[in-house]
Amino acid sequence: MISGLVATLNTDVELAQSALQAIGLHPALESGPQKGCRLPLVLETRTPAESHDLTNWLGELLGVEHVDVVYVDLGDDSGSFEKLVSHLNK
Amino acid sequence: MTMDQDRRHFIRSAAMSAATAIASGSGPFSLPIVHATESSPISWKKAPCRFCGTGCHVQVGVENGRVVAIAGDQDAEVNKGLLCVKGYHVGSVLYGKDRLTRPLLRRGDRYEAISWDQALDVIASRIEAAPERFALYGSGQWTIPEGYAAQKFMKGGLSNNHIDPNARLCMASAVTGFLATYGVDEPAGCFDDLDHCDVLILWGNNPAEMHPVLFSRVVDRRSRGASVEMIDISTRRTRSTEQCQHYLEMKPNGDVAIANGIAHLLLKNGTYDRAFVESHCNFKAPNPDKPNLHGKSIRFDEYRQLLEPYTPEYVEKLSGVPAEQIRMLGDRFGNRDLKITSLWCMGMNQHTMGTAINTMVHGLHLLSGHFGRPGDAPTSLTGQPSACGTVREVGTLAHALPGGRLVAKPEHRQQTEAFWNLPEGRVNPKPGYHTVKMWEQFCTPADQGGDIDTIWVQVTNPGQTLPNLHKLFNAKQGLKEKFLIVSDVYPTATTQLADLILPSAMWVEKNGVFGNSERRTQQWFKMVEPPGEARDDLWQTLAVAHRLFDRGFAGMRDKEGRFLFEVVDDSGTPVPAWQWEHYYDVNVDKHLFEEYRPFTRLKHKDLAPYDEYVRTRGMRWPVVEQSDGTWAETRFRFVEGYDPYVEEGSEIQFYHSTTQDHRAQLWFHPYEPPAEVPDVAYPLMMTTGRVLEHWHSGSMTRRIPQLSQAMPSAYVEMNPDDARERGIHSGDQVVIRSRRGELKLVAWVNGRGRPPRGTVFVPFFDETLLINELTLDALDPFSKQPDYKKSAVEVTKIVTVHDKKE
Ligand code: SF4
Repeated sequence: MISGLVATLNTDVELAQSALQAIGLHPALESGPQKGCRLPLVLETRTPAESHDLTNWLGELLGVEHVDVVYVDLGDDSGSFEKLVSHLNK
Repeated sequence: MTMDQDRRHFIRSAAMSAATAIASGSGPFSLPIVHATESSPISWKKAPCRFCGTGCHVQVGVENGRVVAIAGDQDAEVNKGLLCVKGYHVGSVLYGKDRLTRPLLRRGDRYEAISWDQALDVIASRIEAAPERFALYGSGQWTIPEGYAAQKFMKGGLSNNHIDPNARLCMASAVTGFLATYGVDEPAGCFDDLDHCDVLILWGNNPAEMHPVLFSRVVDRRSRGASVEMIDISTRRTRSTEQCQHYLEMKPNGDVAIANGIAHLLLKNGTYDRAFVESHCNFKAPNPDKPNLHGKSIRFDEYRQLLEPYTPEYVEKLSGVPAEQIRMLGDRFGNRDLKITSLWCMGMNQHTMGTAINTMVHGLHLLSGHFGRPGDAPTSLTGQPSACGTVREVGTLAHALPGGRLVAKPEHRQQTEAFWNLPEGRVNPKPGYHTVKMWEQFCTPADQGGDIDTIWVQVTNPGQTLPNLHKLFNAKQGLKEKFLIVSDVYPTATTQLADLILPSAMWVEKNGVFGNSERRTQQWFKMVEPPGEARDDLWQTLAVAHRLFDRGFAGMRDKEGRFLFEVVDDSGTPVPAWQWEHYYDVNVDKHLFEEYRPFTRLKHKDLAPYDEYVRTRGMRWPVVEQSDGTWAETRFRFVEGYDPYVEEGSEIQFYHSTTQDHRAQLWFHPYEPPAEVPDVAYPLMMTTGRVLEHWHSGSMTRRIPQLSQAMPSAYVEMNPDDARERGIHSGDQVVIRSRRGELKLVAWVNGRGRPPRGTVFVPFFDETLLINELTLDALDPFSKQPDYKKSAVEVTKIVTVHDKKE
């Protein structure tokens, strides 16, 4: 699963710097060119749950003010009719 | 590179372009922009977003028959490439694990998969047995052709007006407000007003969460240096409040007093627009002897006298808003140098005085002359993607016909019968049941007068969204003679009581046309196949109609005996579109849209030919053909220079005036308290509503992992003092009770919004926690819209966070 994110960095340079370091070390994240306090990112994970957790992790970094999800690619995640009927019949 | 690597590479670069574009703030709106390139392995097509009435356009990326990517559409005027968090995930709504894929018939307490052929027989037999006891319940999520076909099937085919949409629950009071003021429905202005206003007033409205892309248009203007003053008049602080310079916290129904207070000041200070009023307005007040949308005419001096008591101090007493702030509003409206836009949605519509407050806010703009210039506009928003296009324009309401016609008017019925080539007298003159009445009759045993036996629900979820659910929905259980048919894409609270479930195609699995909140009609084509045996709602209606036709049901024939929905190909040969394998041999949407178009001209809501909408990202009606053969849309109605129907030299002309003198009606309504107010047993006022991450009843957005994890379940938001008094902390499990039911929820002290003392808020998106089992079913007397915003409740703690950990 691939998402495009924009992280808004803290105006405190030291905090922002520590966040940039943590982001740089994370294998699932690719950073784009920073524009002021905004950092474009691509996040690639195996599952939506991982993607969600990593987005949360990003948002919780001290040097990150907030994270916007600006692009999402949909993974293949189909279900089955049999499962549905058994669910309804429960 | 392999195909997979190629695709992965493409998606990664698309994601990075979007993120970089928004980070650099390029483009007029600081937008994420993804270009659909020729060389990409993905094919991109346009469609309006499936969710709210803003009607953002998205680019839908399709590969190998699946939607694989979504991007904001930079060519779309509505959103200029921007989408909200729901919009970016809209593609995922197709791929929830539990899509309905076969018709299912209830046998005892089990469901059995049956064929479509059997399903059509079941429905046809129910209708044949008692056509007058059959009802169809839809929504503003019907596409225009779907709603038009449903309307024609019921009113033209069954001579039965029991068809109503869920939109009755969300914008019916806006309709009656427009009709009572201008004689014709829907906003005069458009979203462009947001780009021009100096003052934006939110009347009980939270666009930061409900219409985020629109709200960001204004916030973005400000971040680029424009001076826009934002005023939030509300019963609780919301995310929108954070952006506003003024927050006016009112008591429930306080808006009515506030509107009167502003009008009082405009007259007292002599700051009303005398010239505008003298040229373009009449005055009205309610007529207690004959309550209707015409009211009784009053003179200007009577109007002034009625407003006399509404001094800022008296309004403060009624509304809770300090007199100083009422004066501030009076000053803003009294200043003609400013351009003022008012925005509202459910807060003013889900209101026992919904029609009244709608007319009064229009009235403030008329009285002060803040009307007719870009940025000067009273604008109501809609929650559903085609509440305007399908419900209000096609007229899928129990009393209406397409093109603003009314079933009760003989000449309107004749006109409709002529368009549909039906024998005279086919359309029933008696309005059908409005939503609440329809469900009440369905949930009442037949031997006790419940005269609706079968309801077919399409594209909506009344088992979650009706008020007072125990009475209006759950009571169906055990009534043997009642039969509920539900066409949907996922199991919902409604399918739980369904006797027959039909699997539907959704969004880009079918062709469609929506009409958004600014009169913009938007078209899209089918891009992917629906799963399993899921089929278009429009096909379902046509197929049932044809099954009845086959059985000799007279109503399914026109005057010449032809099938009511006969569709022909380019050579004029009829196509059996009721057979699924032939349904897409022709564009049935286009056929029905062109059949519908003549209706639209009857109330100057002219639509262009279907192909014009294929070409564009939507156009705002009236769309009128120019001398060079092109089609021009209308941004501002009733205004010379913009609206082609305004006569030269008139400046402003309300050409559908109910008084037939080209004037709008300026209403006075006295303040009345809410239908239910807190007391000793139920001391808190509960309001319900939506949250950013979920759309409507959550049946789609709760299946999108990112959204459901961001906002997994409903909660009750409480004021810290109320919580402290009850020993409640955030995270505690509480029970919330009203006179109609009770529900266990988790408490959130303050929460995302901040309810004032004495009030709580509960969102309604969660089908596992049905807050509408508690809501009141009191209605606005004119629109028949329920007031979901004011139910008296009590909250009691049952489990503390600490206990839970143990
Ligand atoms: S949900 Fe509404 S605001 Fe969000 S992208 Fe869709 S149409 Fe736009």
